[in-house]
Amino acid sequence: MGVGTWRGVALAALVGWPVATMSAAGPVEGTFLLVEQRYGNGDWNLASRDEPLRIEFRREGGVVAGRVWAGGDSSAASRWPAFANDAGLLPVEDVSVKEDASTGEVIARYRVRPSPTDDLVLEISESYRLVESGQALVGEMTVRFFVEGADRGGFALHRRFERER
Amino acid sequence: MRGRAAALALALLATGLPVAAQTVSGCAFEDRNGNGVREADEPSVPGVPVELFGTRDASGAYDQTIATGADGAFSFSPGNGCYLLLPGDPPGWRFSGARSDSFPEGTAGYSFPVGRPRFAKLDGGIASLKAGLLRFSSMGDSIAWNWNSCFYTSSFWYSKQIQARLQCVAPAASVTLDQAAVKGEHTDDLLVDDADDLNNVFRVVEAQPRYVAISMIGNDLLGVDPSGTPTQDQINRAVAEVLDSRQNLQEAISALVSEIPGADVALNSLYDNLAYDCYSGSSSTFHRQWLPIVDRILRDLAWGQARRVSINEVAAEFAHEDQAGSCFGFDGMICRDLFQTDNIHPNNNGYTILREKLWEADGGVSLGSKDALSRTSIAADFGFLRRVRRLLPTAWETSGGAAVTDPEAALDDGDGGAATAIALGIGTEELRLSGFPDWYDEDRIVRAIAGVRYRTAGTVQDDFYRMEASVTGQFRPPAGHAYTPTDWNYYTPIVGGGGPGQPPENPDYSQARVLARPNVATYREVSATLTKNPTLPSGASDYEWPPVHQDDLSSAAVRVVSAPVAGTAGNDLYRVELDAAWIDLYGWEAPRPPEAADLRIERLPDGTIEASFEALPGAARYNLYVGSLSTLLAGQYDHGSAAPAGPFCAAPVVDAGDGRLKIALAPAAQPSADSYWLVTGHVDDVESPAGARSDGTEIDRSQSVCR
Repeated sequence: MGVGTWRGVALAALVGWPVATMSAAGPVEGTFLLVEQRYGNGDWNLASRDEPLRIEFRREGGVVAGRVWAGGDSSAASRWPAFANDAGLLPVEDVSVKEDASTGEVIARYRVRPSPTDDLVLEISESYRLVESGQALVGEMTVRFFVEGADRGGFALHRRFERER
Repeated sequence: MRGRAAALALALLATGLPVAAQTVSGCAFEDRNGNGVREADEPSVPGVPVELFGTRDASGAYDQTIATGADGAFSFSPGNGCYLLLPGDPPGWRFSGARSDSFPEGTAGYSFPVGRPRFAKLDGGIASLKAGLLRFSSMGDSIAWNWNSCFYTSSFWYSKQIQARLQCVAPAASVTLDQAAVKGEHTDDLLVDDADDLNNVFRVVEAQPRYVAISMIGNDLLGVDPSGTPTQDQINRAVAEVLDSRQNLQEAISALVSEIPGADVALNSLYDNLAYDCYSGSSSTFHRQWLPIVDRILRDLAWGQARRVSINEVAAEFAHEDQAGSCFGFDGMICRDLFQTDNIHPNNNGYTILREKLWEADGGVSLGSKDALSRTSIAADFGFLRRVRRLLPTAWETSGGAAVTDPEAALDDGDGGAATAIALGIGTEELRLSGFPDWYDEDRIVRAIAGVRYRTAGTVQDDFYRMEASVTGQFRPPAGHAYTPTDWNYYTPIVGGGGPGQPPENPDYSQARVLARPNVATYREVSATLTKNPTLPSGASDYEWPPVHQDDLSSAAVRVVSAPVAGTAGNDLYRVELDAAWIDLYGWEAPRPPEAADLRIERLPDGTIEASFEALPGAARYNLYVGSLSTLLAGQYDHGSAAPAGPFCAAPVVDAGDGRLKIALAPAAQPSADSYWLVTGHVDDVESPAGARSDGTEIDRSQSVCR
């Protein structure tokens, strides 16, 4: 996956970005560390301790922009939203990123075609909002699976990030 | 001899040297502990027909059937190619199942990606391929889908690989694959009558595939599996899901087995990788304690079907976590994608193992370049268990206002299909069958199967029925019961799934229309392995699973009971018609000692009566039975629990000389009326016959109550 590909996708996404507004908990800004990740209502925390995931949101020209990376090297960050397997990034398509003016929630929707030889399309949404104290980011990542347009199930990950900066 | 041959093959494989033999060999043996592994004291089973069918790389079709020799061995030399290996079940015997020991990664003898071979068999697969058509349906959840976030492979990758291998076995046949599974679904989904996908028994029964594989990861537990040190409420909630899953899978698999005649069904272990993810230290008390139980439930569930279902010991290849704290994890088999959106599904190596396990469960054999390890010789042993006895109930009772006609018919399996009819309502109507004979003490029970043959008359609308068995006759725990790993198993589901709204405290698919196949027009046989609670001896690493014992049979029961869902009065005008219920005992028989011979009765001057008899070689104890002469003259016996005196179990004996023993009965212990006397002895806990009637038939064994 080359850098140019996701830049092209991100450019399309920028068109839909609204101007950020304040929420009760404040705008989603800062650097956050993934500390909890649970499937559905599951009790199990699947967040990796070895290669912790970080997500960073900042303001660029009044709109929110994000980047995400695993491990401690922020120079390896990818522009958010991004999707990857363990070999690297996968192309994301049809990206839209919105910020809910009333809640401050940041929502990204995008598609991934993981295999060129398969009909599978992933429709993914990620949404994050600050908790009242502003010290944590909570949200949900849902992945739905479509084959030839038919919904063939999916899953949801519930995530909690804690503020580092 | 066989052990040396296997060691030689392993050594050649390890050193990378070519093995010239190109053989498919093994043996058939009497699997007296049912673990699928031949132990030194387990006898051979000669005369078992074994077929190897497939296509040779060099010269096309291969199809040979041979019988196992006196030592149980068989051997083919087909050359490299792809084959299915099929030992037939000898009449009265049943394949005991693939080996169930644990050899995880890192254990000596383990070689990725195959691991310890765990051969099972497709009973109808070869016939379907010969007929030119094998439709393969892959049901389940993300595990069947082959999902992970690592995306090495296409969806249904390993099922497609199995499809390709079956096609290799029979190139002229059409082998199709239904990609039925839906990610994220629970076992309940297999029973939802919908048309959105093929991942339910209704649509699969319509499609009539010849081979159905169900592969699931355990989403039923997803929202309730407690981490850390769980509370009892959390444990109870999670165990309710485990039991609901068992009921759902019993209903789904039994429907497939009974409604798709001749089709092969395979169940991939509902493994839970969290249970064995011990590298990360996240393994919890609940998973450590309960996932081995889930694995065992699934093995029992597969084995007890009316037609045995293959079970794939996937967890055993991935890891082993025991109750003593030992843990061989398989973190390297889990998809750890860059952004951690998975962390739960197998990576490609993990799915490669699934492929190999499913292929082994098919009896699949690839030799040469088509084998994952390029092996050119394969050894596969097949254990068998004999059905030593079918027990029928002798008593019935109703409760909850159940209306029953001809109740005796369900006690008779030889009445030409006459049935007991039960009209069930929306309350607690129940017909209970019990009184299973418990006196066949020579039976060494390894497994027991509870079965029913039934049909329904009328149409079941929205309130259903259930059939289940219990070793104790107590079908549910008391209210507020605290489940523990050794106290949870109160009943064995036979018919009737969890249904909508089950379990009540955490209902899945509560809006689903129908979650069962309730209307059964013609007689259908359904069965399930009858099981007990496991035990965990102090300091033991793994649970022990005590088999059903003769002592359990006196309390065992099978029941048909209302299972109201909607609670709609009056619209379910159907009857369950029960032709028969039974418990089949599988195992082997210890030899019965001969009768205690030459019984002589003598009254001494002080009124004592002495019964002397020839000693039984090896007898550890003797019993004296006394019955009423009047009963005997009427053609019956009453020396059992209704005896006019005694019975005198483990009676004191003294040496009477000349190889004889005697039992003395003081006047106060003697019967007051004319009587008949019998003496029996126990050798290796098997009681000798009480004698024979004049026509040579054995005296009523139910009267021999000194067990």
